[in-house]
Amino acid sequence: MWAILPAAAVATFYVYPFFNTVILSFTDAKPLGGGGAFVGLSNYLTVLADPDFHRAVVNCLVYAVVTVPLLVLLPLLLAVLVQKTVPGIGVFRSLFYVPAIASVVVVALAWSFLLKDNGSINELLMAIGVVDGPVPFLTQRWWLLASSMAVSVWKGLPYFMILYLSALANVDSSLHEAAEMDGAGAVRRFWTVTVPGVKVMMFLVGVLAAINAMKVFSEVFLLSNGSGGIGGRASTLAMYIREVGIADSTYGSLGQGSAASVLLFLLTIGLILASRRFNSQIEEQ
Amino acid sequence: MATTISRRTMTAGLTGTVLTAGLAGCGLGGGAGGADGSGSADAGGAAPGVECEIPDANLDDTEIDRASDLQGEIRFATQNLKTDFGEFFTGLIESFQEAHPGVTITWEDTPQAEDFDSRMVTDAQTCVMADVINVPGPTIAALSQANLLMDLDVKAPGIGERFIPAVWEASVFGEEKAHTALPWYWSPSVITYNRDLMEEAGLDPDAPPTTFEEQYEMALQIADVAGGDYFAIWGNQQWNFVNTWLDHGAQVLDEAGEAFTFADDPFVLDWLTKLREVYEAGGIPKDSVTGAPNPGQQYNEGTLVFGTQNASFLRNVKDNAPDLYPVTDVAAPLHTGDSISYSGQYVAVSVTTQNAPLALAWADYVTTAENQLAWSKDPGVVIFPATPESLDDPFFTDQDESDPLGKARLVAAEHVPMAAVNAASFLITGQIQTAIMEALQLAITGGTDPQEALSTAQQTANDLLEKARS
Amino acid sequence: MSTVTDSRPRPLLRRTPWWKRARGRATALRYVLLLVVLVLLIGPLVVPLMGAFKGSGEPVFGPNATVIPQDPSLAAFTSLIEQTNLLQAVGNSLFIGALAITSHIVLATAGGYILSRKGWKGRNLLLLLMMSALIFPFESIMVSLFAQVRDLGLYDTLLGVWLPGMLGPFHLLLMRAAFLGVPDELEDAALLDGAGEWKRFWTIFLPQTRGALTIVALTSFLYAWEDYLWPLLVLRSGDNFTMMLELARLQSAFGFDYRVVLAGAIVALVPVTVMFFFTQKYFFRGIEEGGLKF
Repeated sequence: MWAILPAAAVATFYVYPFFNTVILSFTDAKPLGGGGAFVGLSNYLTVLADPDFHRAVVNCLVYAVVTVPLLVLLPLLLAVLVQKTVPGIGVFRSLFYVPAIASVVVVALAWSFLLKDNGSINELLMAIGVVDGPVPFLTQRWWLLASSMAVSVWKGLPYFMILYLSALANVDSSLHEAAEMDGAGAVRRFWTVTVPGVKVMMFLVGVLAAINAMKVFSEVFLLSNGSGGIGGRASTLAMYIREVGIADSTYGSLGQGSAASVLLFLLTIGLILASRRFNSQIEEQ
Repeated sequence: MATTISRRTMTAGLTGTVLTAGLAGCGLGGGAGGADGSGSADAGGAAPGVECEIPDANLDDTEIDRASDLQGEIRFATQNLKTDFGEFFTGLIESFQEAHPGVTITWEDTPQAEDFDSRMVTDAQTCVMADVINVPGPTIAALSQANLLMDLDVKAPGIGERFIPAVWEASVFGEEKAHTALPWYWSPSVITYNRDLMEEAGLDPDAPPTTFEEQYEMALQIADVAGGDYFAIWGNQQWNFVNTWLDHGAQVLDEAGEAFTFADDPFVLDWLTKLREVYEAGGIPKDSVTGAPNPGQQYNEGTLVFGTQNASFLRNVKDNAPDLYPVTDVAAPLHTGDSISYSGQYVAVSVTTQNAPLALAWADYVTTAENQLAWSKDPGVVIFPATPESLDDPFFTDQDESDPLGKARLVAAEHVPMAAVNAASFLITGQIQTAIMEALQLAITGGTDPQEALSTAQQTANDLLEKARS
Repeated sequence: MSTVTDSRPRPLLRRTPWWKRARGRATALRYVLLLVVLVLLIGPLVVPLMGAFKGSGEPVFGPNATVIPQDPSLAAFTSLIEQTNLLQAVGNSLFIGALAITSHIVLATAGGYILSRKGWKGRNLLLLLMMSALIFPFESIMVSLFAQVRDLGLYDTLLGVWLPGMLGPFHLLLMRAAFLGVPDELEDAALLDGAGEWKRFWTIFLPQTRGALTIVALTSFLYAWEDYLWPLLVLRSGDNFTMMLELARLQSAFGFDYRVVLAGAIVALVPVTVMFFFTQKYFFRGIEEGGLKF
């Protein structure tokens, strides 16, 4: 009985709409109505031949490869840091959570303020003589992606920290003490006790971080005022889907946008399955 | 035990939903058949592709009587007007409802324009479009192309007589080149500048540029003197490029209106090459090329000579940089031709409305000369009515020249009679706009050769145009 | 079963490692680390947000602007209250948030528990389905979602905003992980005592996953509070606007005052921070009690 509700909710509000998307991806439906005839694979062929799509795929994959390891490890370290109760820890814990609760619009406003050419970070770098001119944090493709990744990690840190804390609660503290008695140092205990204890959570965090990376939109979009950097070179898959589909009521194509969505979906599933295999291979060794 | 039960119910529930999903799935976005089976796709306009119930009277070739006995309720959708004009519109609605007892106008205002397209597409696909909508030209063009707007030539003949003739005549949309929207408010773009910085750069603050050529010469000098301490021109040209091209007489679109020709136009190439030069010389803030469309923030920091071209944004300077407001001055729009682009807002009636008489009457009422004038007098903004009759009002000449907002009204008002509509401005939106913007970014920052960038963008734009027509 | 954690005698004669010898130094190091992280995490937000407290006579950004307001003022907050229907919007957002918390907890607990049970086929398929649901980009499903909400007659209602997000697939996965983390011995012991499935769920599983439940409550509220695009599509009349929509209205097409926008950002942060402050106490208490409880 209890299974019906959640299953029905997922089916109705996720699976069914996506099913529609899959159907749309084989039609020439237009954003403001009209079209809708079956066109076979032509939307997929258009998308797959589009250099903008290729770039978006590369950008998202790079995003995933960089942010996933950081988001799996850094929040765990942070969780270990705040796990122990010391006076005033409650204030730290609460304030640490602020990046996770600030709305993306505010976050983007704040970070572009820091990262623009005459923003605090560039002024600092120039003052200490690391660089001669401003670093193009918000304009050049890879710098913009790096800045966006920094924001993603910054915003994800506290959220994943909380996830890890809930997992750490289940790690039997006697294991720690036993290891300590065996003379294991803090670093070794982290790898031999803490990490195995939160393995399930690490995988979950990794999957979530990977999905977020493949779907990343707000960070890149807002930091570059919707441009995706000079020439739109840092545009992500979600930006591409929006651009060719629903956000362009005049020249958009729901079919093409849907096809790109389906491809994003397949790509992400592939990535997760691959990482799962990779994971279990490591474990076997 | 419990587990076996869960398994069965779960799977059953799931397949059930998926099946329904499959059956219902064809409804969305499809409709090759659509509503065009009604047999009324003649003079009144073709039926849209969305599957909505449309009263025959909205599509046939008869006029709609909007004068007599109105009743019922309609929805009126605007873009981002509530914060500044909440009181004005509430008053307007009240006076209309008083004149027509028994009618209700529900006002829906979209906060921020950015996601408006997503909202509109969702509305159109699901038949919940507002009865009367306020959108800019390119959106009117898109809606008209999809046959979603009422053909006013048929449904309300003569309604266009009150508007600036040049604007009305050129505001035709869709396959049939019909009047599907009523011109509403607009403002000529002006030049705003920081007098102190002009002087610092050795330029005469009383002799602002009048053409792009002059602005370019000044920008080079500013770049030279400023040495990176301040800048001349803002890099993001999204709000200006079409108007700048058109107002300097560029041929953006071919005569038939079927293909773009901007890449072959000497002015456009010259303009882009010069912007690239100014960037190279340090006259354009590097990160502004992909910055916000409005230069407001940098201008308010006091490090940009030429500020916003949207005179209403002067209020921004007043609020956020009070020390700069007094040294801000306003000059005529840059142009060499004898026309100034009208890139204004329109009011249109949705073809899916179930209460066409009331919708038309309301659209009519909102755009009367009297009501357009009343709104233009709002102290916080610089907007102009699209009705020449209201322009004779002393308000537009009786302004304080020492106040930048007042001066902007004076300067802009002088250019209102030069208003002209170019079909090109309706077509530059969505992916075409993105393609051009990306070309500009690449060329200005020194990457791609200007001619090559323009040609590539033009090719993309023409491909999209052709696809949209087919 | 007894708690094993605290009864274990401490070793006395072992070589004490350096960090123990220098306990004071370790604590100091911990605080230094905490402070560094604090600066990194809230510094980027605090600096720009200070603009909200600037008086009308001073620049908000730029070389002449200072981080600390020279002419501190709460005028921006007053205009915020004047320009927006703040109370109503906060009320609407809280209402949707409360619905979201309830439905997420109920559905994620139910679904997560069942997914964590062994011994029935199709589990992996359902798991994959949940994960898939996470991957669908919202913009590719929003038109369909909207059509559903319209068909249910929930267009322009707060219920319509809540409904499609009534369940977070991730929360389901999270609760599943939490239930999987409950040691088998606990359930075995209860089985020996003859406790039925329902009783085992209430007395063993649920209490063990309090921490995860707090997360579900917190993030479901957060998503509901922050969501922008979906409420924008569903809600039309100003009376139904959520906090985020109301704040977006501030950035008028005719120019706006940054101070007021920043003030709005601060107001949006406060309720969630307060909520977190209180839940974190509860949440961390669960952790401090830690270990095996039975």
